Amino acid sequence: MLVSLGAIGFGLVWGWLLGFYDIKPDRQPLAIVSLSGASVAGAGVTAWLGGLSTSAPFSVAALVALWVHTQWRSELRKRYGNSTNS
Amino acid sequence: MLEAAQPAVEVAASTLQKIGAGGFGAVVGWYVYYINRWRKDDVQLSDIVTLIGAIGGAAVLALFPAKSELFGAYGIGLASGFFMYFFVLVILVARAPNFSAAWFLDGRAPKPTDAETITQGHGMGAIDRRE
Repeated sequence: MLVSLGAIGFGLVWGWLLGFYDIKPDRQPLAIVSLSGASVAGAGVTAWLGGLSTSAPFSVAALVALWVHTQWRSELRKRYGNSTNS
Repeated sequence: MLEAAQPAVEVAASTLQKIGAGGFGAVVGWYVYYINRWRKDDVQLSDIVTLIGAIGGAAVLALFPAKSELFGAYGIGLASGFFMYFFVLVILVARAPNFSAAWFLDGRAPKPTDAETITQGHGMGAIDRRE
C-alpha cells in the first residue's frame, strides 16, 4: 500500500513537471518523442524500484497531474493573455 | 545450512525510518520545484533527467531498498515537498498586493514604487554583497 502511494507521488510530480513544457510547433515531433521516452523511462524506474504493479498508479497519477497542470495554465493564458512587456 | 534453507525475510521498516524517508523525500521534492522555478531558460529535457535521478539515483537506492516501504515513504514525501512549495507560492502570490495569478505564467509583477529599488542579488541568496 505504502509503495503504491509512493508511486502515485512520483507520478504526480512527474506529470506536473511535464506540464511546464511549452512545446513550439516546429519542435513538436522531437519534443513528443523525447518526453514520451523520458516518461517510459520514469515508469520503468518506478516499476523497477516499486515492483511492476506500481507502473499503473504511476502512469495514471502522471496523466492526471499533466492534465490538471495544462488545463490550469491554459485557463491562466485565456484570462491574462501574454505579457505586454517587451 | 539452516540459514540457507530459510527464505529471506525483509525486515519491516520502523515508523521512525518511514518518517525519516518521507522527510528526506520532502526536502528533495521542495528542492526539485525550487530548481525548476529558478531555472534560467525554458524547461529542458535535462530537468526531467534530474527527476529520474531524484527518484532512482544511486544515493536513493543506497538509502532505500527497492520494493521496500521506505521507497514508498520517500515517494510520498517527494510529492508532499514538491506540491507544498507550489501551494506556498500560491498563498504568497494571492496575499501579495498587486500580484495576480499571471505571475505563474511569465513572472508578471508590479513595478517597484519610488521608495523601492531592485538589487542585483537574489532575494534568498547567501552571498553578502555589502562590501
